[in-house]
Amino acid sequence: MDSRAPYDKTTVVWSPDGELVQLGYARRASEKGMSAMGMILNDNHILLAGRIRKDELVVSKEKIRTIDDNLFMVASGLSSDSNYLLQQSRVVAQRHTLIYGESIGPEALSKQIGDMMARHTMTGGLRAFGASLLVAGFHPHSHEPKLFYIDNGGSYFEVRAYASGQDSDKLISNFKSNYKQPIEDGKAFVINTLNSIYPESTEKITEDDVEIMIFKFEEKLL
Amino acid sequence: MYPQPNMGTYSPPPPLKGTTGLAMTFKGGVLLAADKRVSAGYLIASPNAQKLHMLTKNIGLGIAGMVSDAMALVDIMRAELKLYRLENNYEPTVKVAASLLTTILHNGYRSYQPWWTQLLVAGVDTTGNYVYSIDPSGAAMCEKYSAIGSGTTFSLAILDNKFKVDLTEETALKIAEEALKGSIGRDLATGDGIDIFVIKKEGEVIKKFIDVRGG
Repeated sequence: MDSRAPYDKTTVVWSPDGELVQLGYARRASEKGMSAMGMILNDNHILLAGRIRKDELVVSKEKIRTIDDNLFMVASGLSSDSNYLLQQSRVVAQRHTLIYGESIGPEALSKQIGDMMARHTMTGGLRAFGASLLVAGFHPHSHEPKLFYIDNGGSYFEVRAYASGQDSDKLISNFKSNYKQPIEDGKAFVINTLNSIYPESTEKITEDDVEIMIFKFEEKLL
Repeated sequence: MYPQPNMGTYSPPPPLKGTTGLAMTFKGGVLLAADKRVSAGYLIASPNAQKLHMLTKNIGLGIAGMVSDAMALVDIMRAELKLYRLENNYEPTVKVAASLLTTILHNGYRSYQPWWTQLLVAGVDTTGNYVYSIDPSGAAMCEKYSAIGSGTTFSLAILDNKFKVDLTEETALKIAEEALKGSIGRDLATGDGIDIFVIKKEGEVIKKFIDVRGG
């Protein structure tokens, strides 16, 4: 799969197998990133988590970012790319509020960001994004929790629990067996899941190694 | 008749010629009512105009002012609200329709190309019943009842007198008819009949017509 020359030189060509080879490489960039997870805990709460690398010299920056009131994301892969996507998401959210007088819903936001990421794979001169996103939010009217996964190429889908980054395939297959709503203790579930996919590891993963946030819909006064 | 104040105080543009439209909330829904006369000076260009238009299944728009601008806005809003429904995967609320209209109108005002219309947005959504009146510059006001057009003052006089919160549909219809007949009786640019849209909680819209001779 590595030297699919010359179809891997740019995103704007298809390989004879019907693949965007560059996009596959971009996905590998996200898969190198720190693990991130999202899951709906119950009818009112969503959890987002991101594994952090402890460093004495670097002042730690939050992994779980705010897009708007009641709208959050965590990314895996190139942080420069995910910072850009975060900024675009924030602008998209405010533009929606300016025009429609209400908060954007998580599906509409995911769609617009996904469309932007897709455009980057078909416009000459632009590379695909090296980050995939998990967007958590609440339906603006019903306040139901919603979680969306947006991959590097911009395809987005709604999920109940998902993971990205390192060992995401192991995390996802773990979710398939163990994830079931409602989850009583989201933090414990995340830590246990992470530890269970590294059974041979001597150093156990603790709350210090993972940034975890649990969100509930909050009425804003504005 | 309408004083033009000097600088520094906001004054809404004078009501536009040739229509009376009104909207009011009642217990269980909203109603929109308007006359049917289009006038060009002293000529009645049409005694049969449609001034009430549904934008979605549950949001209606009443128009006054320049017909071309108003109809363009109806078409634009129908397209935009449909796109909104498809992209967001839920129905637009009345507030969304009003907000979008104010964005469009205010942009026009700001670029010296105003939309020469006064509008009433009325509808029922999952959060309640709403009436918004919007002036040509894009200023919107959410009210329990409102009127637009050259016959505004005649209708408002009756609405101010008779409106109460949580009226029954029957009483609301009666008051709307009286208010519009007041305008028809005194404003020569208003007349030739009354259209009424009743928009109810369940998403149903009932359309009525009252024939008014010689008004």
